Amino acid sequence: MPDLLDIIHVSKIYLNGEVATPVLDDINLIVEAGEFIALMGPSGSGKSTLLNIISGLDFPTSGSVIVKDQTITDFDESKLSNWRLENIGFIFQQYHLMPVLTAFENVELPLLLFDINRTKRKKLAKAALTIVGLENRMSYYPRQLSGGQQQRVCIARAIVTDPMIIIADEPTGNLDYNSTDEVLELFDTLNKDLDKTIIMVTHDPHVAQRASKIHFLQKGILVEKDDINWNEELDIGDS
Amino acid sequence: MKWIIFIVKNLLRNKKRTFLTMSAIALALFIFAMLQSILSALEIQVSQGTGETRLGVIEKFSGPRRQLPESYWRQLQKFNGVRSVTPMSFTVVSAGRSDVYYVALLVDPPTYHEVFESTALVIPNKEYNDFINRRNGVIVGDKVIQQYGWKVGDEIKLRDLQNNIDLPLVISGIYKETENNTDQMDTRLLINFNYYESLIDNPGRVSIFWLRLDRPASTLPVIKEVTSYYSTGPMEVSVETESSMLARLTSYTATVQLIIRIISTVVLFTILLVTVNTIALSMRERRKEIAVMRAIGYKPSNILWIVIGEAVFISMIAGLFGTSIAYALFNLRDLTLSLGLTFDFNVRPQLIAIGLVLSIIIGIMSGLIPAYNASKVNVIKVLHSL
Repeated sequence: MPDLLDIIHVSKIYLNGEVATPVLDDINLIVEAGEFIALMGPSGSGKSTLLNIISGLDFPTSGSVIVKDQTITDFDESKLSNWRLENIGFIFQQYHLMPVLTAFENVELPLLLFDINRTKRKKLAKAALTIVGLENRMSYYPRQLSGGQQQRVCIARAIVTDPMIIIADEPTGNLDYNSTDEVLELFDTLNKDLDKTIIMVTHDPHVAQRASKIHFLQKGILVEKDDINWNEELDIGDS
Repeated sequence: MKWIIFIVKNLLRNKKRTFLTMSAIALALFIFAMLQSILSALEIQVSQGTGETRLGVIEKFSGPRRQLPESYWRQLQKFNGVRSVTPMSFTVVSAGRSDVYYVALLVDPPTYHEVFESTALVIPNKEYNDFINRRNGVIVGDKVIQQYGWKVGDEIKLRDLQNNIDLPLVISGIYKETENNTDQMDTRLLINFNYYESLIDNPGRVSIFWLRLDRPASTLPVIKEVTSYYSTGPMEVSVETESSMLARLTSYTATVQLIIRIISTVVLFTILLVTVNTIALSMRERRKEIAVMRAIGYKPSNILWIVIGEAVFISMIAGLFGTSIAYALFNLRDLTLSLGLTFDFNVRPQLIAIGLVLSIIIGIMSGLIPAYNASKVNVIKVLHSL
């Protein structure tokens, strides 16, 4: 598979006054198109920061991120916004749907920025909601939907613009077992049937196992899977 | 257009707050429209009568409040350069309804016509001749006519509130305001001075004598001569051109106008601050949603325009509502006339357009700071993590 995402010597240091806190240290990672990657690591290991940098929400202190031959770390804020709109679909742990908008309108939200008419927007939003199995809940408000359904709306919003990469941060963190399974099934569909590249952050090894590759971050450094003491690092001994 | 649903739904998320904000803006624009109509009424009042061939003679120290002896009428006619003199006094009358009053000008019909051609000319000759020939004739403004459904020839009885007497009158004619003549006479009445004098206990007093000069060049000599003539008499006079006379008559006008302008500005500025605060509050509550929008591809400029759009939308609807209410309210016949004691407080249609423009400006200005702050939201900080 061709390289889609190339993370080259990415480091991130947060400065708080004169105190420098290194969060990412010389990260090098290649993601191929169509991969389903799980990023794991304990709290504070830098996985969210890495996800922010990959998705163009944050800039590295040094290093670069190249997506399909475009060095996105060189983009300005406006260009990055456009790039995110066209190439990235976000799935959040807290869903982050607009409470005043229906499921349909939430999914339609990114499409408002495209120069397309209402009919086309309606068609695309309906198609996305059909993929996630919510075509009969289009006029429901988030408060009228269960957590699993809200997450599926969030997924529909993420895929409605047909992005290359889906970025998911703890997508099942707020869901029960059944909803988690439904969401992961959907991820499989997006990855295998729709060829979406998925980069997911999770604490849950069972969730991570659904990915085709797992990368582990420890104190801002990518470590090999063999070196991981799962029970100690993930604190899953009692789960 | 595609943003309208989004904007409306956001505004409806806190209906009470939106309603209160809109009400405040509507009220401010209502007050603005009302004050502006008063302002324009005052301006019309002062700007009327530009003919400098007319001079007004009033008591020197107290103005029209202290009336001059009627005997001055004949004396004033003798001055060189004076073509005609007409007396004018004022009274307040009601026509059945105790809460609606009108200003009645007490005039001498023949000389009034000579001095105030422009006013008299809009009344048909036949009607004005009747006013001249009939002692108890009255010319009534058409707004008053419409109010009571009167017509020419009707016998009416007005109550004079100054001397507390009844005035039996016959309608000689109707005064209609024309495009070129907006002196607001349509809410007033002209009553025969001599007839009125015959009904009251203390006749022989006149508020103003109006002089019509034969040519503009006579203005200064006549002013000097008349002023000098009465300087040694029991009642000194002040002689002024019509425009300065009107300015004197409304000597409080400038102050009132200033006060009105200050109040208008304060009202609009206050509402601007209130709206800024409300929109800023709303944006603070929606920081997370804005951060999500930024994450999924909305540019800072998109956020900026959405927030300004919301502010303009709310302000425009409220402004339109406020000025329309003012228009509807102040153009209702009853209210116009009851307020028409001195001025006509009609809200002109242009004022709705001005109100609309102002409300858009208020919307833009009140949305600007919250919109800028919202567009600069730190996505990572607000969302903590994705």
